[in-house]
Amino acid sequence: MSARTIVIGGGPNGLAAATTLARAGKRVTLFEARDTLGGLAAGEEFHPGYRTTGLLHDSAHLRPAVARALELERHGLAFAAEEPARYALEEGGPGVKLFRSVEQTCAGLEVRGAAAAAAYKAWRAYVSRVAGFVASVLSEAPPDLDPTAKTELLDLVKKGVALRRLGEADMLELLRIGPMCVADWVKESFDDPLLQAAMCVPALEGTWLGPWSAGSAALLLAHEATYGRSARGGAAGIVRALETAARAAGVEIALGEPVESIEVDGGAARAVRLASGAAHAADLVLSTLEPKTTLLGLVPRTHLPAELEDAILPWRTRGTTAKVHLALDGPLEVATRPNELVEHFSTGASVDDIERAFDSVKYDTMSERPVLDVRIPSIADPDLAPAGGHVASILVHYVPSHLAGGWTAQAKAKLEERVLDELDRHVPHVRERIVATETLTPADIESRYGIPGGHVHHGEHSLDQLLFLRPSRATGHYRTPIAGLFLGGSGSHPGGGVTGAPGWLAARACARR
Amino acid sequence: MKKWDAIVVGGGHNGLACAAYLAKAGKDVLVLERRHVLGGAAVSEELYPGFTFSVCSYVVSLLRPWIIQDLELPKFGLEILPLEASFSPYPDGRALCRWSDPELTRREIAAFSKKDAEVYPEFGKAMSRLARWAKPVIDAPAPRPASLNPRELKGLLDFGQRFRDLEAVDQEGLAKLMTKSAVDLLDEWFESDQLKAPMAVSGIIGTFLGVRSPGTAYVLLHHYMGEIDGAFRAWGFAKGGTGMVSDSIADAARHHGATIRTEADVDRVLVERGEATGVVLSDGEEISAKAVVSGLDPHATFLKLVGPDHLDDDFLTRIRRFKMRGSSGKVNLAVDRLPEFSSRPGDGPHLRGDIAIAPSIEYLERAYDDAKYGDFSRRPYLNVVIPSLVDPSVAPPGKHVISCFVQYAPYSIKEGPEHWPERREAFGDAVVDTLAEYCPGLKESILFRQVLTPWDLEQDFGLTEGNIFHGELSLEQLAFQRPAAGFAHYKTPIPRLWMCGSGTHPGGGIMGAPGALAAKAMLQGSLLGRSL
Repeated sequence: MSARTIVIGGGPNGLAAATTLARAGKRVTLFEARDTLGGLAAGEEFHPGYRTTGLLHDSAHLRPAVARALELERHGLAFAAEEPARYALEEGGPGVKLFRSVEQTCAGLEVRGAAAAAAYKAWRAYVSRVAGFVASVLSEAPPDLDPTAKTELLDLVKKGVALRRLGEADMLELLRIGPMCVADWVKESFDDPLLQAAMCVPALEGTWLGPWSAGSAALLLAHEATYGRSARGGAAGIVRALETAARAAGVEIALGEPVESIEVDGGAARAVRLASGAAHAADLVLSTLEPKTTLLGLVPRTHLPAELEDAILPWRTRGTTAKVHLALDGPLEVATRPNELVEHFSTGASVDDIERAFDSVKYDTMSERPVLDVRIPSIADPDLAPAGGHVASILVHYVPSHLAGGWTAQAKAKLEERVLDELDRHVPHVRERIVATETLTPADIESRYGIPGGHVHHGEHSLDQLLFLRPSRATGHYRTPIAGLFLGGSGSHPGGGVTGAPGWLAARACARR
Repeated sequence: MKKWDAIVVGGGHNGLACAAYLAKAGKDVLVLERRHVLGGAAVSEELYPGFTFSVCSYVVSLLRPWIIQDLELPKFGLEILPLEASFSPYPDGRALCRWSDPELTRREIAAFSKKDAEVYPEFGKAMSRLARWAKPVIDAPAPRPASLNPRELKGLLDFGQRFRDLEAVDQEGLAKLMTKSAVDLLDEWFESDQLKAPMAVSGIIGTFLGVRSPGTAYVLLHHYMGEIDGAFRAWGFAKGGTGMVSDSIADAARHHGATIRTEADVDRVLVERGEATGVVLSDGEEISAKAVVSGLDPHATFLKLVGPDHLDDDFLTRIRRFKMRGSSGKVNLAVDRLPEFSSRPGDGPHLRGDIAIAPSIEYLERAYDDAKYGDFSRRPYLNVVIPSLVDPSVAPPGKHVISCFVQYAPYSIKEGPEHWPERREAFGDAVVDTLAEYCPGLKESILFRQVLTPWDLEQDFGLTEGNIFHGELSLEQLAFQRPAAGFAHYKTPIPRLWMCGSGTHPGGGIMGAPGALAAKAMLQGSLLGRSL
């Protein structure tokens, strides 16, 4: 009988990794510290009768390759019949609705002038030409610039050829956009300030970058290129399918079992010790926790090669995201869209507004006017709230993890007030609808989910922390210098979000071993 | 009518270097400079009786040693006087001076952090290693990733092989360095804000970026490239002012037979049947040539000299997207006595280097925030030098010239760039007030003040949007993309029209490399049977 394989962490990546390994014939046990599966994608009841669909509420970036490989549709995954548009709000103006469909978006943009629609169409046309290439990079193990094995060299050559096949103009444009800041990209693409701002928002989610920070254009491109279909039930719906698939594959799931250490002997991972005291022998350990937590927290320092310690210490996890959940006794009415149920909207009316919000985190203060990404999941899924009620799920940017003065109860109350003030500008009388609120500061996210800095991506998405450098060169391919220890959380390529990709790719890297 | 082999538009140091190399190869070359003096932004002028100012560029950093040798510049008067120190005063009355002597530097840093004092030399070594690796890039044309030409492909493969030859730790360091921020890099090494802030500014000079902006660590590396030029101490003042760099190159060019005309304002490049055939001056004079090479920046070259009619839309879009946002200004002062810093009073070697007013990371970041929203920094970063201490020839005895490089001063202030003249003196006051906080007697000692805003740099020196590097040094505007992919090898879409300014690879600063490499590319073309 083969020795046990242990997966640490029961978020989407842990579940994807465990299932992949179990289906490859391993005997897999998954340990999750909390009493619920799903990590940042776990649906949670935050007030009696009111549930969220996950702290990360975007469910449209699950990689199709992962869904296929794990047969998630057979295990209950379903996609939303119609992708809700994102409505970018502006005060005193009609706003912009961004649909998946280019035609629908352009039709809406006509009121802002023919130029806006034409510019958007041209932009989407470019993105769709390069999307296949970008999505392939973000759905496969990262290429290595110093290939050692023939297969790695072949991968690199294949990527080079794929890049060339975009054609010279598109390829050169991709190389130009890659290191740019998103502000420059949207400003040269669109004249409309609201459209510029609206495009920036998803690129900047969770990361310690403003629109004027270099490298943010690549994040917008990545977001667009991997934008798939939203799951029914949101991120929590993906977790349910992943759990079903995991159990079907024979994964043993242990909840409420925080891992205290990984025991290393002779340069190899041998066992996992739980906080409850029990030790479980293993010949393979795959951790989906944040990289510093795994390498500096779980692995005894004496067993960690000095070069790896040096390489992982600078890993940056300055969280910039807070979360507010609202339990509502009725629907929210956006001022400019009366009588319409708006499922998804965002604020930030100009690039400068968003940049100003970012400025504050540089000085460890909270934004005067935070940028909000709001979803009302209860419109598609009424079961999330009591009859007639609704749930608002609000991602708040930019909120510093290291607030000057600390995250006291007063600071938290102030944050919630700022969020409601901002919301009130667009949704008048929002406070009158509120039954209950839940506010999670970066400090709360850190303590609830065990992520340093409360960083929702397990490490900043900046160019020097992506691809084969995520989380460091030596660990950028899921392997670590400790035999039998693998990394497969959002701190590995292709990074954060509910994608399943890091866990799935890490499990495949184990299998290749 | 005489037909020249080549006309060089613009007598800046790159245009002159290009002319010198062409003339040295036996070509009949004419340089046309709009102003009454040569040098472009590398120019010395007596703006006030007895005081010679390096009006714009004020230190020589990366002037390529091979150019100095090829053109025998010392023979034509070039002499570089080394900078001895980097001095940083702080508002609390303390100060830090970094010296060329490592032991002195260690002691100074230890006053702020013992740990940083120990690590400082290690950091220098690590950066120098990476700089040594990266440096060949600035001495050759940029590799072309889109080319299928076997020679180019081999160049790319060799580049890859050189990367693989690096030690693993340096591979990782280099890959991350290209994209991270100066502060992120320095945070990995140092704890003292007083040390990190004056070091971080090397990453922002001439850019529209803050010290926390990704991409600035790479610019910091450039600083270390200058440090390792060995044969010729790289950071220094040109004796007689920065204009002496240009003047020595001009003399070398004349020595090889080039003709140089000043007060010859080129209005446009003549294009006939799609080819450049000469230039027209603003007084109507036409001059023909087999080739025209522009030392102006890409916007001035293509949008003004050539004009949109001769260029296709795709190329025009790319040139218009080439970012030129100026971010800095200059304040030059003539003073009747040596400035005295309250944190380190009196004359001393600490004044014989560069002086950084960069007291903290937050100070620098706030200075950047002002600029992002269309204003000059209320409290700017200043890089101050007093060349008259090292080179007494530039001021009367006992008197001095002070050069203040100022960042941030955005070209596009919110009132609109054309309103800079109304704000010029307020900007000058902000600079003098800032410096006076550290040098209490400064204001009373000022005999003369020149304030150059980005608008002035554009109007007086022809730098579009006042960008001192002829285009921002952001990653997407370097190497094969400078100024546009497919046109990074000094060629333009118009046959017989070439580029040789800082808007081409390897970019801005007093390097001379764009000019010299452009001349080499032109000469190579003629060897292969295609005339200049």
